[in-house]
Amino acid sequence: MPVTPRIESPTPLAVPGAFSARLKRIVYLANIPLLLTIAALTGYGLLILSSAISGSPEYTFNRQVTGVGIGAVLLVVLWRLDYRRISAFFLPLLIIDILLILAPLFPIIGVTVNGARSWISLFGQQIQPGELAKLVTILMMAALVGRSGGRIDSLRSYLRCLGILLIPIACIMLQPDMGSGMVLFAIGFAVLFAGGADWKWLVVTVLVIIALIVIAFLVDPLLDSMVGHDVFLKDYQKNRLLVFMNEDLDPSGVGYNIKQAKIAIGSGGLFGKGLGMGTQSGLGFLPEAPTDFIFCVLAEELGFVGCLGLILLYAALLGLSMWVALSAKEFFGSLVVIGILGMWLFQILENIGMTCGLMPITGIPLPFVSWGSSFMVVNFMALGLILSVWSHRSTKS
Amino acid sequence: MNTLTLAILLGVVVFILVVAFLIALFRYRGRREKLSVVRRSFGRHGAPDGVGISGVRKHNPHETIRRREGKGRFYVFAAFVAGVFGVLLARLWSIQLLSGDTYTKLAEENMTSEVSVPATRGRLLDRKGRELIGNRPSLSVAAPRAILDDRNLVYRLSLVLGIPIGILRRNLLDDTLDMQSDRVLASDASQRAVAYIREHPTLFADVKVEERTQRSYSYGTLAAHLLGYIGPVAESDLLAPPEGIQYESGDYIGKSGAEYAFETLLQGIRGTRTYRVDVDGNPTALVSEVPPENGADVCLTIDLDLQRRTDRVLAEIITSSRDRGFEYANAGVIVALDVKGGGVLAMSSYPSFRPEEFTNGISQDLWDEMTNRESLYPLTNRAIAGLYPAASTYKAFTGLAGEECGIIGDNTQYTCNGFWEDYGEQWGQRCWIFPDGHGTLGLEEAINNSCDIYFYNVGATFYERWAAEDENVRKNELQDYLKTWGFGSVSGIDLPGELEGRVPDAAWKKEAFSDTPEDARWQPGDMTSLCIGQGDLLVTPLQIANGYAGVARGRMLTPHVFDKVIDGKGETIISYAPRDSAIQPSFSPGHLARIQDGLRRVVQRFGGNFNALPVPASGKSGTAEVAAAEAESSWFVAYAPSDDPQYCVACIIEQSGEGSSSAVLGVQHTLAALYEVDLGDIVVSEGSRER
Repeated sequence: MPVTPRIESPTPLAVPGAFSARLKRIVYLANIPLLLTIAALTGYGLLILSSAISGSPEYTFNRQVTGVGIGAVLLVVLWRLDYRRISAFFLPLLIIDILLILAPLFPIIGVTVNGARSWISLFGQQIQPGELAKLVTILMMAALVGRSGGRIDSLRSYLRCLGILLIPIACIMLQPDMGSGMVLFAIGFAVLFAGGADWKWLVVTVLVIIALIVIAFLVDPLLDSMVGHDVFLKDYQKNRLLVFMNEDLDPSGVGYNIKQAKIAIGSGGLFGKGLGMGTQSGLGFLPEAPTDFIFCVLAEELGFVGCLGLILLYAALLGLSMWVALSAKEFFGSLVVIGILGMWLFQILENIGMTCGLMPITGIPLPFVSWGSSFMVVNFMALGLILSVWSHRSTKS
Repeated sequence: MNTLTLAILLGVVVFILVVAFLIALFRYRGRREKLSVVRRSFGRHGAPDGVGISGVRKHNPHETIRRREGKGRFYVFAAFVAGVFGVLLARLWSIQLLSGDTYTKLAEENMTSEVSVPATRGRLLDRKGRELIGNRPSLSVAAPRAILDDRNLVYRLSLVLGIPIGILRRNLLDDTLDMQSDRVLASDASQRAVAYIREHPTLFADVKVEERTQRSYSYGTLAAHLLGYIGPVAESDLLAPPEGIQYESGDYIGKSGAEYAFETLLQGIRGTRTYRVDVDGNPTALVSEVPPENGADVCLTIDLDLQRRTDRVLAEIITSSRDRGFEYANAGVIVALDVKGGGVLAMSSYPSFRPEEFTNGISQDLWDEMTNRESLYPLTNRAIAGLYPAASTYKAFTGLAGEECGIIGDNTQYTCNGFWEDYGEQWGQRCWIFPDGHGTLGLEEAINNSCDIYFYNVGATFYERWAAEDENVRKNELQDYLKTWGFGSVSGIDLPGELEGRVPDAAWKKEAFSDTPEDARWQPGDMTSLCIGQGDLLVTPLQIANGYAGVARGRMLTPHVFDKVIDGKGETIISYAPRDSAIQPSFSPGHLARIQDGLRRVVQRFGGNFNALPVPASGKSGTAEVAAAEAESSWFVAYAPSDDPQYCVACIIEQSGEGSSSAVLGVQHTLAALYEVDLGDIVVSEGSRER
């Protein structure tokens, strides 16, 4: 767009027509229901977080609010950006993705927290580049699949897409971060699905993965006994699967988390114990209350009604995003939104599902609710992309 | 291992199948690919809209490619999202609304912790409410098992408490307690050790000093057998506690005597304190408290003064007997009964033990020492579990049986010339007075002189009557009658461990000698021996005392040591109601009067110390011959006053020689204590040969 020098007007608001036109344009560019949903969800999330962190001084509310602030700025930036330009940069996106994922493994900036090298330290701030990598993966996969014209006809091209998806997944498994790897897979799978990959290939892919997991589970003890130490599966990973299959296993050991999580959820009842009145989270029985198990705090303190509220907000978020995906003229735009939807859906399903015993336990945060500023920033950036898709829905080049 | 191999094989097979399926699919798609190229050129889509002409796709960032198929997928995706949320909501509904109550309860249990407050064990008091066994505060040092990891701490504890490290380690490793419970390391720690531990909390992290109560035995070994001892609860008791009691590991329970018999009264009911706890289990606030219900104080029929006296008299008689040359005299019993009510006034058994040694669990060495033959089984309460031939004390009962069965009439007399050979010279039996004779005697004088020949004649008649009956309709009229006086069965006293004794008859002998059939026949000699209280007859001192009390009052009562339960203010809550024995002997009053007359004559003839008593007494001596023993055991049993009996005392001194020189002293000094008469020192005289 050509930049024209603007003449300073002493009374800029004096022209009513100009203001009205400006407002109309903003209303056109902004998806008002989506923005309202985001505001409500963020507010609700902060409310739950404020209660969840009350007993843990190492989690600060300010950091989360800072995350929201930075995220909001980046949201506006991405919103104004023409997302379509990104689709040309598949290869750079792939390289950035790998660099982001491997950044914590670099010696000076990398930081190890809880046994996983998932963090880097920049200017005294710890950030998780892996979270940003999720977004980059979405763009990368959308660029890849969108380039193939929205139809993956040959098995070769399907396998090529799958192979490229496996690169960042393999990188993130090195950290090791099983949870993020699963999120990346969910993203790729959603994009491939929406991109028109054959049903049968998708089904076979899922079956092969299940078969590989089962085989790994069965062969692992044999390998371990031959080699003498853990090869693929760590003990805690095996235990999580065992606990998932038998919830009453070792309730004071490996089954402790899930047992306490279910007690927290179940004791919430219809209306909950009241905000800040939860005993499971407030007294510290619930592990990781501000991060992975924050849904239990909500379920305990605000009950089924509170959970219903959150799930309705999520449904609105996903539904409105789907509206954006459907209204995008550009296939790449639809795929970006679908990738983001896949990321959120999987994280919501996994996080809530694990707390109520539907999924095995994995450290995956709950979007817009769990403590973690990197994650919050990335979610807002994802929203910015969605809004960018929305605002460019009918712009002709 | 087999199932694992099978599972791996299965997994490999599944994998191969999946790979085969993939290859097949690839080939199938490969064939379709060629077709689809053709179809793309001429298919329903028609010409591509401006880009990607002739299959060469050059990417244009502003191309707009939409396909119907793509939109359909988006709807499928939306349906999937709805499905996921539906499943999550259904699950939440099930957990929060359908099983909400269960989880609410679990959450409540999570944040509260119940600590039990032990109840103080009730005291054992004497009939006048004087304390026999009480409680005293005691400081115990306890620590969790986890401190074993800190070797320095265990070493420090060993130094401070003065307990060897090995014993500390053994206590800490106690597996009967669950892992979290504290192990008691020293239950009666010295004030100095406790002060040191309390002043150095950093050196003794996790070590706790608890104030508990401990049994206090003010009178040491007093009535140790009757009162009993306590000890740590055993696993079997934890699994099957008495009704109304919940034991916890580490509790102390009655193991013998009255402590055992009245456990349900003494134990009390533990209280609970419910605390709100944090995630580490540390209490933060007291939520509720159920105070413990302390055990009740139980008054026994024992008289403290009398019991102290009988314990001492028994010990002194035994010492004196040994001084007089009866070196095997080493055990004995004194039982004093209240004739009117059946209560036990004193019950001493020698040798004795210190119940205090059992409180914290007895060491294996000491236990071995107390249960071997050389120690004479000091834990056995010989009053109820010591079995002896009744000897001549039995003549009162066999005499009465003779009367009741019509063998001894008002004028029945037998002549004693010292030797009885009714069954032939080779089977002849001597009276104790042999080579002299008692001459011709009636029943009263036969009892007075304890003439064996008289009772041999009675026994011979009993045998003839028994043998005359047809084998199938024979009745053991002598034995059956003796059993009505409480022999051959437990008296039913409220103490554990009572033995039945034995009244031998033909059936018993057949059974007992089944290995040697030639000895299994019931012989006339068995019957005559039974009539003088010898042979295979076995009685406990309590049976003799209770039987004589029965003779004195003309009715059999169940002996007992329980008197009443009193509350903290001394008010009686439960008191004992005297109970008649289930089986009562039948007799005509005249017959019993003749026996009582004979017994009165015995005491009159003995004179001596009996004359010092303010009331006339009646009684009988006995000399029990025990095959394996080095010397005979000496019996005496008496009741007083003769005309209105109040007290009945039985005494047996094992292996203190023939004659009743020693046991009679036990009875005399006990009666003297009851009538508050001083008889001076206890000196066993030379044997008088009198039985």
